[in-house]
Amino acid sequence: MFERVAIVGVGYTPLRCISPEVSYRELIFEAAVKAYNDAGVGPNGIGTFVSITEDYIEGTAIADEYVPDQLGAVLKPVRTVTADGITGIASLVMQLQTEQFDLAVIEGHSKASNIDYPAHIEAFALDPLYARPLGFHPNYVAGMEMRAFLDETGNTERQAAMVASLNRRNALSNPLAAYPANLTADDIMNSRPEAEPLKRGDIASLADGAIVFVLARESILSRIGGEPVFINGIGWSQDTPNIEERELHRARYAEQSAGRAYRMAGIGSPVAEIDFAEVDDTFSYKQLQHLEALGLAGPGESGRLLQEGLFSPTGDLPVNASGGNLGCGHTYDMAGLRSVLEVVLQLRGQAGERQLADVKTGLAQSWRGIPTATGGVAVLGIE
Amino acid sequence: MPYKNKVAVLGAGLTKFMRRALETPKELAFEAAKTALEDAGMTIEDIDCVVSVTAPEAFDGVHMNGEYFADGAGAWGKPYMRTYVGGGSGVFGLVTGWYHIASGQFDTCLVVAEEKMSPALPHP
Repeated sequence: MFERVAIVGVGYTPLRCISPEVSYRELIFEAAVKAYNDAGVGPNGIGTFVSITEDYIEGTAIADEYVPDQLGAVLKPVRTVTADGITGIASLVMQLQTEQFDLAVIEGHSKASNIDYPAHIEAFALDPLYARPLGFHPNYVAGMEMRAFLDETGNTERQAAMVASLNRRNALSNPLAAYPANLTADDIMNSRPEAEPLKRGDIASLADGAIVFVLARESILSRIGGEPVFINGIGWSQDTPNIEERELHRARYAEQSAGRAYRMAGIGSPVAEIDFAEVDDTFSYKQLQHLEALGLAGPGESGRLLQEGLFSPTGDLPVNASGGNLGCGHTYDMAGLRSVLEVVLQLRGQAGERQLADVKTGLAQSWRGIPTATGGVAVLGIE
Repeated sequence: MPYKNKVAVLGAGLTKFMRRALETPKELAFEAAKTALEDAGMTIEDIDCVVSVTAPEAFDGVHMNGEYFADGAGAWGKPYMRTYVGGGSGVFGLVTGWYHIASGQFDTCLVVAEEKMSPALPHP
């Protein structure tokens, strides 16, 4: 029904805790050069560009004004999409499907190390009339949600800690990761309490980096090089910005996004048809919550299935083999692109030491972070 | 692709431009969206997706402004995207709405452009 869009080139920098010797523009440039080389096309052929940014994170208003130089996008259509990386990709999928353009580029980046007090910035996303004046640390929202999720589903704090432990250890095999560590669930459980029941080890740390993708419409693929990975389904959704209106234990945005993506991709049974997944784990319990929302685990089952090894790299449905945000570092809205990147690398067989065997269909899921209930889902395949 | 030349604007709504409006960004978005839907003879249930545009966050004084007034823009439970090109965002909202529909992915789209350059306090 719709012409498919494929990712034909990827470029990225490794994620790092700090990157004092480069500017964010230089990070983007490195990723862009690699992406164009990978795709075998130059910037001249690109018709439209999307930049994933949020002003307050960048420290500059209209931040996408500063991306054209390093992308080769001068005098071309460039816009900011203030959304997670997957929703940004969806924007380009639609633009390409209008047939106005053949090729498109998306960039996402993080220079979080520039932010003196991330929590102060994040607090500005709380409702200015009803929430922000209460003066709480934004992570309390995640703490409340975690408590509601554990109470409602019967998953445990310890199972969430196991997510953190597994993802940090998965990151040891990922040269892109900023926070690989050999931590046990006990280490996580004993880490400093932050926002009950969240502990320091449950929370992803921030990282710097940049990712650029080149996308193409299916009908022009014969004209260019690169190894296409098809976006077979994509969905994005907004729940509500008002925390008090949410069913806190549910990730409705993930349920809705997955529903649309699965419908588009013709997926009737996610557990059977999805080979592996990269899901948001900005807070450890979110991975469990998202897996249940995606239908990859039944209600209340995700913790148990994790313990049984289903989601480990050697299990039947590896989740976050990259290390996730906990292992790689959290890069705000670029995190969605990082999840898609891992799916692309795995499908192409380019994941090195952490390569999963026999994967044909991968799922990437993103969440925009505190205090939103917004995110996207993409289903990708090599055919 | 058959949809490129078959996208139409069905309705429009506009709030009064004024300094120091007492309405919050959510309320301004809601007023314009409601007027546009009434003009088109539709309800929010008829809308498949929502696009919003707004200029720099610093004008509204909130981080992630698109998220903040999403409820006023009718985006609950819908695919929602705020996109932005600085001051050109108003016109750009139409462009974005256009490709949501011209792509064939959606049949109807609500485009909401919002700006609140005075603080929301002391309202309500």
